[in-house]
Amino acid sequence: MDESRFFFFMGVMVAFLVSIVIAFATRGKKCAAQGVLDERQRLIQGNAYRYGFFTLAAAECFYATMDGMFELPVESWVGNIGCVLFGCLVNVLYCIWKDAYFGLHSNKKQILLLMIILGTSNTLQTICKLTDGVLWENGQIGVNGIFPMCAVFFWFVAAAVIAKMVADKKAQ
Amino acid sequence: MKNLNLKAARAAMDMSQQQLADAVGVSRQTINAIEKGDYNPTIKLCRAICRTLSKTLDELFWEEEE
Repeated sequence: MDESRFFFFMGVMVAFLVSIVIAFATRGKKCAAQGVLDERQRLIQGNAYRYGFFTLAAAECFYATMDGMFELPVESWVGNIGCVLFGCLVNVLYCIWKDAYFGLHSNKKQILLLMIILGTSNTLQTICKLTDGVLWENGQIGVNGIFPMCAVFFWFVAAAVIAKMVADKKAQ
Repeated sequence: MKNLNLKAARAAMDMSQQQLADAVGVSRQTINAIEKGDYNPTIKLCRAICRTLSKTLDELFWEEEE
């Protein structure tokens, strides 16, 4: 395993552990209450997880078939992460459009800003990797292919939040 | 089916959807969905809405058969 892959998997593991620690540390506290959802939102989130999972399963099947039939210019595990991101995107977009993504006291603008920052940083990383010529490794999109995928993910989420805010304003 | 009784009771008390939502602890969109008939609330939420609007369950959520 080369250095970039090692740090990628270490980053994923650390992020996973930190999220668990934060979830436990903020249980029942004011910051956790901001994310409280009402009964309709919980119901919608249940549906969203289902749709996200089905999308992930369909995307994985499609990708596995394509990967088996053709020599795709992308490393297998990077393609799999793309499928996971696609499933997550369906989940998040469905929740946003059905008003089930933000808690009752969440600050939408703060979250939108965070998405824009993440989208921008990933876009910048993509540009850097492209100019450095390290997006492709041995003719295939390697570990650095994560950056454009994440950039697309965060920009889609940010666009959905903005579209929903505009639609809500019109509805009111 | 639209819940016009709820909409009328809320309007009679001069409350916006947001004010009613805040009073019963749900999002504005949830109140909107109930009024539009897109969401069937639990009995717990129905009772909270009735208490806030000083109405009975029958008055707000019972549909007369035609």
